[in-house]
Amino acid sequence: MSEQPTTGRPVDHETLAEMLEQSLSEIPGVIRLEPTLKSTMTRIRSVSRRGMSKWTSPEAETASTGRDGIHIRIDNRVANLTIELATNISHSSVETAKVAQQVAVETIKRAGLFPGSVDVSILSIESRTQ
Amino acid sequence: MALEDETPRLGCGRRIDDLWEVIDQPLNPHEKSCPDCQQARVALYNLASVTEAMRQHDPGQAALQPSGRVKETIMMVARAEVRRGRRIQLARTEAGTIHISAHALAALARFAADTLTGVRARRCSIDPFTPAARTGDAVVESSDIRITLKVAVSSALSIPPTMEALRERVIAVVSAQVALNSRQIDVIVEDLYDV
Repeated sequence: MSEQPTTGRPVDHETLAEMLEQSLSEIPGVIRLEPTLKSTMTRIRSVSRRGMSKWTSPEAETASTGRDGIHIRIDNRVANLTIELATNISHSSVETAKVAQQVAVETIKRAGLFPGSVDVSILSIESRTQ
Repeated sequence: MALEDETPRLGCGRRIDDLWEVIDQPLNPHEKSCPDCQQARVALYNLASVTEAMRQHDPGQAALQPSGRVKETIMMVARAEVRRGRRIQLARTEAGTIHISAHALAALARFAADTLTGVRARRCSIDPFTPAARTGDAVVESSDIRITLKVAVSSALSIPPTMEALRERVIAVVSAQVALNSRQIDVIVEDLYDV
């Protein structure tokens, strides 16, 4: 096995979105990532662009992407996030949001990017079990 | 059995779809004095501008038109967004900001009231103290809001101690969840009900 150091390549937008979706969903107190008009439109635009780029520019990468409750914008390897959550009433909503920020920052770093702003909105507080 | 009308409604009782149908018309007398309608109009204007941008981008190309399922998804999300109301900033950390929707905060206060025996939560409104913020930005600071919760109380209960217990319960739940102070929470008994 080679012991030559390897150079890490930052993950693409979609992979980062997947990583965030998974890590945020696992936080105690998070019931779900809540879709908003912004994240829905970003996702539709992102999917449309990816479909078109297969024919035009296979290497092209969208500047922003998202999943339900996650909007990501990357500029010069700095990732700025907007996260929208439904939280469980058995946990403090503010504390859950702070943990979500920390988890998001760690996830961005693991992806080889630099964290920018991570803004969290609590859109619903519910008493249902996770 | 009559089917229940599940169309989302604003705080004033008006259907969101009814407001959407007249979004391009001037405010009617009700809308001029109704903060719920005015706030919903601002949110729907954003939806209208997005819709208009899509229309101009894909003129007359049937293949580029979104499917019925996509349109339905967008409308469902848009209705939910209007229902959530303005956002209140709770905190700013090193990482970024933390907000809560007025809808979530109102639901939290109603939930707290409903946990008390003999009390039924009714309307809960979240209003900024500052008059300018009432019709302006969709985001307000947490220190600038007042929560007004209206309830119905069982006629078998004595109102003063019940209100004291209710106020403590609401303050405890809201403070624990979103760290607002008690000065910002008003509880009003608007009705009695027979057991």
